[in-house]
Amino acid sequence: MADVPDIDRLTAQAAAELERAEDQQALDGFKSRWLGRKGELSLILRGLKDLAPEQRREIGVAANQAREKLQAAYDQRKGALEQNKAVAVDLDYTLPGRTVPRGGLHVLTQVTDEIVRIFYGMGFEVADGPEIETDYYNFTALNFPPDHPARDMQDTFFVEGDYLLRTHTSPVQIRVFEKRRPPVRILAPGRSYRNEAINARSYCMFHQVEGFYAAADVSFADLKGVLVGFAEQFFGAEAKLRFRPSFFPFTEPSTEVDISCLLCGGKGCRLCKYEGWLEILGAGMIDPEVFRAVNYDPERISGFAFGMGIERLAMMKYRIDDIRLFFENDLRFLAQF
Amino acid sequence: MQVSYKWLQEYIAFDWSPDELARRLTMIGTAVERITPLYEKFSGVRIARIEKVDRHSGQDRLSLCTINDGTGVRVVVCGAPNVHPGLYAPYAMPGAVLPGGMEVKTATIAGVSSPGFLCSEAELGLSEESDRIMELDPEAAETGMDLWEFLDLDDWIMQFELTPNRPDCMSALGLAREIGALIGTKVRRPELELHEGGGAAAERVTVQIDDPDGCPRYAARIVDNIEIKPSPFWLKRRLHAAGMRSLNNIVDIANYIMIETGQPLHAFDFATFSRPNIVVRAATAGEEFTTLDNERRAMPADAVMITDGAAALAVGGIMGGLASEVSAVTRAVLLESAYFNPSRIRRTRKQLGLASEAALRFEKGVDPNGVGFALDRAAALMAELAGGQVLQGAVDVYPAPVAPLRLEVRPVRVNKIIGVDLASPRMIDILSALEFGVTGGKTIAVAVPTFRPDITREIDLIEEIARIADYGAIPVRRKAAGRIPTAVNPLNQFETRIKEILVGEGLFEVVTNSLVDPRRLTPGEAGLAVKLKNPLSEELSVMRASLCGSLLQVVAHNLNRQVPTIAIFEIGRVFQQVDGVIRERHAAAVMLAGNAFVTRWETGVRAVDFYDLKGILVTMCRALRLELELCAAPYEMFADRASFELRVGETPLGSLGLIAPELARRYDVKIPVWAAFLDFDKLERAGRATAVYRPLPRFPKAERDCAVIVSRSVKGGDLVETVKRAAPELIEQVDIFDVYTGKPIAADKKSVAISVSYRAEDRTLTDAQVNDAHSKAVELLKNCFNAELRE
Repeated sequence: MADVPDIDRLTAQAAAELERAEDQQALDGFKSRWLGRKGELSLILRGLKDLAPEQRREIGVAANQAREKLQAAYDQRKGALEQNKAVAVDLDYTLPGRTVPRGGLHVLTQVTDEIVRIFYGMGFEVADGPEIETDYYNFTALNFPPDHPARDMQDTFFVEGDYLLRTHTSPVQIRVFEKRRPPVRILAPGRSYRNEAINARSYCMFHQVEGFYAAADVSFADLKGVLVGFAEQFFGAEAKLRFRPSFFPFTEPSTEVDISCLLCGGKGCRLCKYEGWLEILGAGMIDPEVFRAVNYDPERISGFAFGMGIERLAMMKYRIDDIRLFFENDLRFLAQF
Repeated sequence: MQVSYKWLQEYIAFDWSPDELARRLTMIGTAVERITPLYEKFSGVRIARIEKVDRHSGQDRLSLCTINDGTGVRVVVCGAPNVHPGLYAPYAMPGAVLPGGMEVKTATIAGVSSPGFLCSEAELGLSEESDRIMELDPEAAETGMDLWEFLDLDDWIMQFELTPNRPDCMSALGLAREIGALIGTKVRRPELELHEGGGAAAERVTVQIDDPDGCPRYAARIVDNIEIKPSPFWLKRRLHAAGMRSLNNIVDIANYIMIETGQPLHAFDFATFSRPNIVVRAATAGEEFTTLDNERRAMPADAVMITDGAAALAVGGIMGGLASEVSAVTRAVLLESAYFNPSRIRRTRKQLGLASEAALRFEKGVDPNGVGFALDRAAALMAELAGGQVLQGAVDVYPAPVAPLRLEVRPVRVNKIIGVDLASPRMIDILSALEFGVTGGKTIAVAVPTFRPDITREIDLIEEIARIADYGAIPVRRKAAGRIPTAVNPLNQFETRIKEILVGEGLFEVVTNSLVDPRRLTPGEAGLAVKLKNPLSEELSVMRASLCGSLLQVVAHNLNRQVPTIAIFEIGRVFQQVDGVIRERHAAAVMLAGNAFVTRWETGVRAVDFYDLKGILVTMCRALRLELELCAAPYEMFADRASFELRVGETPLGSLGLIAPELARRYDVKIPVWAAFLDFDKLERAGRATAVYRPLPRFPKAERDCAVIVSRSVKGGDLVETVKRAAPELIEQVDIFDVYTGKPIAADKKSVAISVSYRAEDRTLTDAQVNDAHSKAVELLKNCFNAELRE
């Protein structure tokens, strides 16, 4: 009877040898010594016949398992050495990496999200209404009487069946007031339409953010507080606002708000037409007629509303000079934001 | 609205520069849009007196004028017909620089040397008059004076951007009043020097208003014996400042007084009246009328017509008639000053598509009590400048005079709304400076002048106080106003989430116009589309019923610009009209075209295909914990056999497929475009499920592979489902990891390699159990699909 081989010891010995193999030559030596036809394990397997029958099976299984294990370790070591060699010789760090494709949100969405986030922080929630509106919500309830010249301020698209495309998101004010009681603080971003020729400065569709707040004791000073807070976050702390009297049928007093020119800081340049200011939004105290239209008592409730064009803000923030770029969706444009 | 800086100074004293004036007016709401010089600068032009005029010996159109320019006497050649001895005229001497930059030199004209020349108004950029030498007032002119200084031409046009609630500012006097409010003084109204004579106007004409709703006041004067001629330079200058052309003295006076007072006036040639009457009535059905621009127009039913009782003379408040127009031979005019109903004017103006200066003022509301002053002032000027005789009295029909509105304003309320602490006397000062009648007290009683139709309520007075008190002085209050519980619109959050998932899949969000071209729609969409009544153009005349066309347009735009990979999505509203009911729904769409996103140097370029798109949607659904299913279904926008319905369980979510080539071609797209359209509202409802924790597996899994050869028409998904059926309790996952066609597989067959994971929840499966389940699965495939096991 032959000696019973100590497979564990042999395996450990082989593993240690493999650890030390640093090149192909050493690997080849390892392979023929341990895994080849004349390798140690082959010899053991061939010698099984000389063993006692009860040992044959036990040693056979152990030897086979050891062989598989060593083969796997050999493959791994070989792979590692090959990759090391490949790294040393072929790696070209200038070739493009395998990237996961990454698209992008439209710049208007990014700007809208930022505006919504800023106002959300000031307690405004988001609401919306239909884009195809009735005259009542778009005009009459907002104190644009029929046949009033103020209607000419907003060139309107009319739709079959006594509807129109909303010219602003201000109708959301009425829709929310009808459903809720004060205090309400709402931000309403959405598409609006104006029957205006398409050119670099104007488009027949735009996105407006209307914001409004109605409660007891809301004043013009609060309106200024909210808008100054917004401008500081959106444009930076150095942004200054200027409030000019203006006219909107649904606010009284009304104001047009300018921001100190983003390019020259107010000194005067081509962007601000040497005025130092850029118009960014319209606002005012909600007109008592609007409150009457929704059965709020204007003696008890006051409020403010403001509206701004998202395209306009985006154009200012990113110095985009043609509004049509937003809607052409050239991917080379979209990828810049 | 535009006037000049010096014109405003006629009514109010101020010493601000034009820029400073503009800034201050802008800050009280009377925005100045632009300031431009009234005239282009010229130099070296001085006043000369013509001493003698000789004909040119050869050219009888030319004359040789001996002039004295204050430095000496010289002879210049002149071609104008109006030169005569004693005339004071502008003389451009050599070295003078005229508008346009032309430098004057000594020139030889028809053989005669002329050191400079006498100028027409056109040559000096002062008017369009180019046939005659400019004639200067002999009373004021002195030889040798610099013309620019003599005429005081340093002046600026102030162009205002007015809000539609301020018709009172559509006049020089109204604008001066705004300046007065800034300074705290009242304007100087021009003095009236009216000399009447030649009998009572009422004996020559009657005025009758049959339509008092349309015309609450009509006043007329007759000016007789007038001479139509060009206006003097000062009047032309006013019209130039107002941006109007000078026509003749009568028409110019009417326009000038309109700009000065805001009250439109109209002068009729009185000799053209068939009867000595003015009858104001509503237009009759089907009435036609020729306006002075020589257009025959159909009158809207509620137009106000000015007639002589027989023939129509004018469309009241909008435009005069051709037949009664003042002409070179007019000797007597009937001058009209009236007040028309703003709504009626606006409707008529819109229906006629005529926007005259008069109509723009009437529709916003002129001062019904300013009618008389404007009429008298114009008549007086006609007497002065046209040599006319103003008949005695105005014929003024004003059955229901408008009294100033009386309002009260509570100082407490003012401060509450504005958020300031203004003292009541300050409020009273502001209102007084704006020419409101004011009586102080705990509440301030206010009489609103009738030139301010925009002031009808306390809040309007609050705005007046606020704007003059300066918005800049209102504090910026940043109080923490107590958070109102907020619930962000859930759709909005969901939308953000879906957008972020799709961006992560390499897609770019696009935002496209909701207005589309009906000619490119599919028949199904065309049937649903909501049409605009007044589109900008045919291309943008309907609302989109789906996102398909909008996105194809984006694909085309980018293909034309050689963008290699077009992977886009949009989430937006679509509009559908069914049986007259308009519905707005949220839709989402994904489109892929061009090259797939790959690491090109490694795998080469390939076009996007079905599996790219399906992968994106499956990933999106997985993020929502939804399992997406597809089944073949025909859709009109997709090619046959590449058209599928998307569903989650029993809920159809939308469609996916290859855009039909003929549809793509309508957008000039000639490459395959894969698209998916989702009903976003349904997706949102389906995606509300929240995750529920399941314990992690405690026992190991075992994997088995098999490859089967089946007919090419067999669907991989069916193989997977069949395998699962073999041991539903034990099979955790089934994956297809290879699909192969080609040799040695028969041409109508394919080889599909499937890997199956087996696991039990409560024990470790033995080899035998796994093998048993696996052979059942293979057996099932053989039976169901006639599959052959590939060894």
